[in-house]
Amino acid sequence: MKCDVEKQDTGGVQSTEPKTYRKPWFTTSASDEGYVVEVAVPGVNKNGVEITFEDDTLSITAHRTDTKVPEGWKPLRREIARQDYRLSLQVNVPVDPARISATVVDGVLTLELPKAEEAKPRSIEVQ
Amino acid sequence: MNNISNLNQGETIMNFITRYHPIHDTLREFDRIFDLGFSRGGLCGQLQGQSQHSGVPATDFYEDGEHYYVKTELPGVKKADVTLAYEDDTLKLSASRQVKTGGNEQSVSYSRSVRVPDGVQRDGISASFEDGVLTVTLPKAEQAKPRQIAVK
Repeated sequence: MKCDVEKQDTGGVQSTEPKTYRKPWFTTSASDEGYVVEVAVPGVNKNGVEITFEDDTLSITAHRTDTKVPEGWKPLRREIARQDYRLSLQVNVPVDPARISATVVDGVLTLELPKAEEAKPRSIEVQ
Repeated sequence: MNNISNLNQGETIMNFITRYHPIHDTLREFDRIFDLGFSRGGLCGQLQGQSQHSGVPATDFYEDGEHYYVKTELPGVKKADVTLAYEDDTLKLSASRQVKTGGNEQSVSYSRSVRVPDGVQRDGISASFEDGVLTVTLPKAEQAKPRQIAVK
């Protein structure tokens, strides 16, 4: 793996250090209709998010767009992490993968996971 | 842990040039020695801002010849909910956001004060907010700009 990176001619790979990710802060909430996951990803816009859902695992990778310091800016103090975000969530509730939707607004990624039809509460009429 | 985060809350002012602080400097030194690449600037940063409710957002400070820059992470905050004030050489930043968890709403507020050492032109301060990151640009006052002195 490391050798591959070193052998690449194009792209100008400077470092063979493994890329590190930061686990973002997130909240989850549930309603009758489904589940909502909110992930705090400051510095990420909607083009920088990759979401996959496979084998009940929801994987989120979000790339920051602002990691490059503009030319001439001399850092005096840095606290903001420059890593991209990665979060993996085990979804142990039945959701409908086809209807998962996501939005990114003001640095917060909101994922809506609608419950699968068979998991919704159902009222049964007595005949 | 609590002690450390409390030290940073409320009215504590963060200087561009940081003074000696026994706890922070020890932690920062620790980070430096072990090169801890945690988020939020090492272990020191971790302790300062572990939760979203700690109230002290992660902030970067930069300068160039003409300006100071303050960059702060404020995820989920609406542009209208950010308040910036400049007074007594101190930039005061506060913001709030509503967090919905199920039926409950919770308000999270952030605040941070930054003392700018050399004075800035207060009329020229501007700010932009994009993807949850606030960038404040403070133009340096004339006396703070680097100056070339010709040797006669």
